[in-house]
Amino acid sequence: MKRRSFLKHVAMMGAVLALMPFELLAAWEKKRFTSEGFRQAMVNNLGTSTVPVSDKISLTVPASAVSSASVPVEVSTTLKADEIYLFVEKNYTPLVYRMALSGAMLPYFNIRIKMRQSSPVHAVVKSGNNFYRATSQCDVSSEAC
Amino acid sequence: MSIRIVAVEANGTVTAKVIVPHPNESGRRKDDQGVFVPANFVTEASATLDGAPLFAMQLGPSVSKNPFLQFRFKGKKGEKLKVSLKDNKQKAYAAETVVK
Repeated sequence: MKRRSFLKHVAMMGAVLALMPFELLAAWEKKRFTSEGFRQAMVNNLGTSTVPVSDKISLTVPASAVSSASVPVEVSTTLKADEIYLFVEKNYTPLVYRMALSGAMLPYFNIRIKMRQSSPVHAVVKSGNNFYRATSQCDVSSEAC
Repeated sequence: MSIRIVAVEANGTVTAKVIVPHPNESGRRKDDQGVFVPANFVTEASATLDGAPLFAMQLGPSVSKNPFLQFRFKGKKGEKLKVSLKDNKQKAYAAETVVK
């Protein structure tokens, strides 16, 4: 009898676990969002600060932004993208986001960001085991952050 | 706090737009009294299509107030897109829509 109720219990637990919705994958990693400068942010995220430029990545930022509190940044690529990173070189926290894409995703992401001052913006795409980069300068006329 | 989410399919490609009403304070901004406004920003976001993961991302304090996200994926009309978010205060948000 005891064994019976134990088995019931286990079966129920399993059902509950199976019903749990898809949870957020990785917890927020503070190290990636370092404030120790752009080079360190690259190293913490990619393991290197030198990433080759690729013309297969398209990074669209306004050449000059009126409001530095809301700058649209669009990244797309014809590479097979496993991960996308966005860095703003002169922000206190250079990494804006890190995105891991599944197979159904198209390599495209558009977001609005804050910029502390005029700065180069870098999009990095991980394709297989390699990183590729596109860089664009954005000049802002007022200060945010 | 209601997240606006829309997903529209055209030629097998779905374009989704999400707007999250959130102060997204970086923790580096000072208020009128010169006191730092505490950090309060979205740190994690993920999306699923009919339960299958689409992406998982981590976000920093450089994202604008009321974060706007736009992304694309292969999908069909009628599929269910769910976006989940979490902020640095461990508050969780989610929104669902049906692909149109």
